[in-house]
Amino acid sequence: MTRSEIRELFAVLERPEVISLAGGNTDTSIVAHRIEECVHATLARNSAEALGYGIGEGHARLRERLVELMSLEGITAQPHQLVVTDGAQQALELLAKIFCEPGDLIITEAPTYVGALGAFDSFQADVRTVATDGEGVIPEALVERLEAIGAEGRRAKFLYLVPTFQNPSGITLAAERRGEIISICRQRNVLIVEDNPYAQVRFEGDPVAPLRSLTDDGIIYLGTLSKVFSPGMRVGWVLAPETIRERLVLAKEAADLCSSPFTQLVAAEYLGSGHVPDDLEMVRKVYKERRDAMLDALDAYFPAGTTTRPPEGGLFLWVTLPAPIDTKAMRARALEGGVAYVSGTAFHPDKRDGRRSMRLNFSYPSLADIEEGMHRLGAVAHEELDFARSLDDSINDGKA
Amino acid sequence: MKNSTSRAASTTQSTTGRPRLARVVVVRGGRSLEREISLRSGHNVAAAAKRLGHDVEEADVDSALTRMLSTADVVFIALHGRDGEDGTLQLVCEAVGVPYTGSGPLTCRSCFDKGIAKGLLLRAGIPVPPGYVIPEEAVRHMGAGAALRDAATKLGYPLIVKPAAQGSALGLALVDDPADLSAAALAAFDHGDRILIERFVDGVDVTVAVYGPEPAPLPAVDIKTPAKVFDFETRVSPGAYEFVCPSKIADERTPTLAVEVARLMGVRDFGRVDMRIGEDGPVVLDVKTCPGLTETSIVPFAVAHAQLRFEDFVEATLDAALARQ
Repeated sequence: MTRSEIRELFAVLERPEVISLAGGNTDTSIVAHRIEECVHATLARNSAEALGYGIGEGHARLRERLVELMSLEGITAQPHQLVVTDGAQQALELLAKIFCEPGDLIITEAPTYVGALGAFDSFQADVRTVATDGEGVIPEALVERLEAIGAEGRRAKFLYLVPTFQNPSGITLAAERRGEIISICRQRNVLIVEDNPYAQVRFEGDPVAPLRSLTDDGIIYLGTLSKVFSPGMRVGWVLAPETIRERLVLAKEAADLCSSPFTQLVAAEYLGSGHVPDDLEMVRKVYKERRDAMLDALDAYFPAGTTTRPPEGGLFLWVTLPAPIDTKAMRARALEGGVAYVSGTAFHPDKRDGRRSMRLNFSYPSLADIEEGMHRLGAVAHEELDFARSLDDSINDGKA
Repeated sequence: MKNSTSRAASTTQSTTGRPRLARVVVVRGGRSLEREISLRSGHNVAAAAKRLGHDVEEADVDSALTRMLSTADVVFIALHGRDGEDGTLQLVCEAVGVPYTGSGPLTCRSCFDKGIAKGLLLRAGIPVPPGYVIPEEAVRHMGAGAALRDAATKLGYPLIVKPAAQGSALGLALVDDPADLSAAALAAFDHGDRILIERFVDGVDVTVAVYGPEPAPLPAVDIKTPAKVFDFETRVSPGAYEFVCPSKIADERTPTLAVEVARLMGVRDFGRVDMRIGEDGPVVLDVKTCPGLTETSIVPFAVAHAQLRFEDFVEATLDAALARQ
């Protein structure tokens, strides 16, 4: 089992002198007062229900609210089709558990969500990647990958995608490709796991319909309240075809009996409070300001040749630095300079990939911390690049 | 083995005359990527000291640290890497006048800089892999990348590139191809301003923890891993390596060599001598003055194999520090 590169960082991030652009936290101050109200309301409504055991698939009231929430994105579902999980991360772990024997194949984008790689790795899955471009997974590349796997006499268990504001790249799978991806997978009998944590955090551009809104056939949909409500509440869910849902409920019950009824009911209270549209609007406004500040700082402080693709939503900027910078190695120098980020290698199944890239989070740090953190990081990148070039030049000096 | 370490513990207990229960400040954490390991080491030590009945407080590196040190009867240094292993905290403890565990500042400084340690060991005739130190300033201002390349050519590939002063094998790389030398050097320089390149010795890593005011060896431990080098990624990946004790590789000369190295460098209380045993016998790779003390670290593993409790190790180490008061 390999260990997430983010783990080493966690301990260092406690240090007050370090500005963290590394995590995936949201700014919970936007909804903190709502949570307080919802906690009181939940206990007042029925404390025995909130503080007792629940059922494996999750509380019916929350599942009803989640169905309403998904309908805003055009997804049609029934509460009985859902399983509530402790964040979408638990859903990934349960899926890996029920689908994967050691060596079983899973296909992902590269880079992809580090927590998914961790879940798949813990069941010793064989993770293969599919090529992407600025519009997400390339359908021809997916066909090629699936055929290559077929030629080995094997079949992928599922294709794992974060189609909207992908973590870490921020890329959104183009609307016109979505149907094609579904059809390629359906023809080859490969399930799609659609992980959709960020779609509601869109501050620009037109919404793109989730894959699950296009079909309910062969799609396992993962949702979470971590990005629009609070990651600390740990509320996620799976919307899956019935046979899979049944197995998920059993796996869930074996893991922890049920997600906390208390947090489920607080979340249900919040979703039913009528505040969600206003709060989402605030989240989008705040994060857009922070994204813009980060993009401005990137322009102002980073070396020429630094590239990024401004995301229309989500929480992250995926930044690629000029050669020969190695972002994994540079982390130590950055920490010395008082700033932390996640190296691109963390998001690749093959840890030799992604060495020029880094993921920067703009949802959690304040505008002042973004400015100062990017200033520090830009200075480190300049220093690294200058030194790397003088090292390269002098190593090659006098070489034939 | 058991006799020598037990004797060390009982001797110090009888000479300290300290209060039965001491106020112990365990310093752990710090500012480097070794922070998490240090937190775990410190927690393990603090828990043992509490089980022994001491009044224990854990402390981190911050502006209040010196004030807290001055409240202690004894300081247990469980701070890996910078500040804890380079002599800094030891200098502060000496200035404050509080006893502390482990080696003194000069030994820490000499061991933490692998280039200095290699020079001292070489001068004493201890086998070490041949190598060269390249400072960052020399690359910036003297075109010393060319010296790095020439040194690499002399040593031959594959070779090891690593920061001269860094723990947990952070920034360490095995370089097979001259085309990868620059990237490996850059990564090592990211962890410190001097790097060491040295000949790769094909073999098995064997480490000997030493223990006591006059270092005595604990049982040698083999590090069994399919990886060619015991690098950071391997160290932090459960299942990627296995400790084997008693060692299947070490012979009777191995602990003798470890003790000779520890004495030569001035290691006291506890430490670890990392070796690689290849075709031509052992070479010394590293001397650690504040090795990992987590529940899964090598030193507690060796302590357990010496039929000692970890509490015995902690108590004897505290006693040794107090005896120097």
